[in-house]
Amino acid sequence: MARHRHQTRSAILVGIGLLALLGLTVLLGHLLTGVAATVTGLLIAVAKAGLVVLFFMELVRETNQIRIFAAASLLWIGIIFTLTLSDYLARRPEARAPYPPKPPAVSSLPPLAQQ
Amino acid sequence: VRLAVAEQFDDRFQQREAAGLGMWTFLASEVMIFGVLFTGYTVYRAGDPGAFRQGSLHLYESIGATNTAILLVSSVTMFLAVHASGAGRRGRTVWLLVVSAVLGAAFLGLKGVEYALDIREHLVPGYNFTPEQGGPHVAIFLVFYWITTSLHALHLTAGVLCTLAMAVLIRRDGAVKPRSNQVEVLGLYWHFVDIIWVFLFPLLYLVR
Repeated sequence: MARHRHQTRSAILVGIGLLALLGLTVLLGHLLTGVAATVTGLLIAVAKAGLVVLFFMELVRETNQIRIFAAASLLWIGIIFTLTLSDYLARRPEARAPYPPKPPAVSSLPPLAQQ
Repeated sequence: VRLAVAEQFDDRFQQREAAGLGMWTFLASEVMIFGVLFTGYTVYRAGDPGAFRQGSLHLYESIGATNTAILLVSSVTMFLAVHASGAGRRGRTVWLLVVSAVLGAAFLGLKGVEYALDIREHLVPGYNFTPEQGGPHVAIFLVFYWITTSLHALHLTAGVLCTLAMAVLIRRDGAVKPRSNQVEVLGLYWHFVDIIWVFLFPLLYLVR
């Protein structure tokens, strides 16, 4: 029963920590802009996810086999991100966007009969 | 409380580990589903950061933040439900599961209100999006918003239904033994759905 009460207290403390991180991310979202805002937002998200995975999902107490399975998902998503971004971010800035180029003005098209 | 061990397992430890491994494998495949959506998001956002910022400003940050808080609290109650179940405390397990499900339903209700406001503000590309809301790249941000949040809501709906079903089965005598690992596996899924939202919140609502 003592162990049980201890767990309840630490779960509530982790919950308060998560809500504090949420407050921090909202606050910083209003103070920061651009890359700084994105990076801090994601770092706080990683911290929150880490707390949930390690404490609530109890990955620290699991077997090595399960830890490897959990880590494998991050490995594969890392490969997807690395290969995709190494293409797009290595392009010339004007060709970087995945969006289609603007269509040329109609007047610049050759007359239909010559095509 | 005696724990039922299915006949293919030697003991309850092996059964518990097999169930946990199965759920972690499923969650890893879920990481792939959401992961490619996040990859696509990153590519399109890098292509036009200004449009994503403009799109993000259309969204209701207060609703998104409230929903994040609701899910985080629901993870606390789900964790406590798993431990109550592990301690063989049937009544406590049932009411903690119900509280978690109610919090999940509150998230979905609030999300529905937000969707209704979004639709009223012409934020649905291909349905009522107009150039007043922004250019075609703002529409792409909103497409990511609708796809990722609705896929997440679908996962949470499944979680709420499974949680309620689990509460009913535990309450009904003998259907699910309190100390079985079924509640634990459900908890893993619930926390995963929480984590997905933790990443969606800054990527959708806090683009500045």
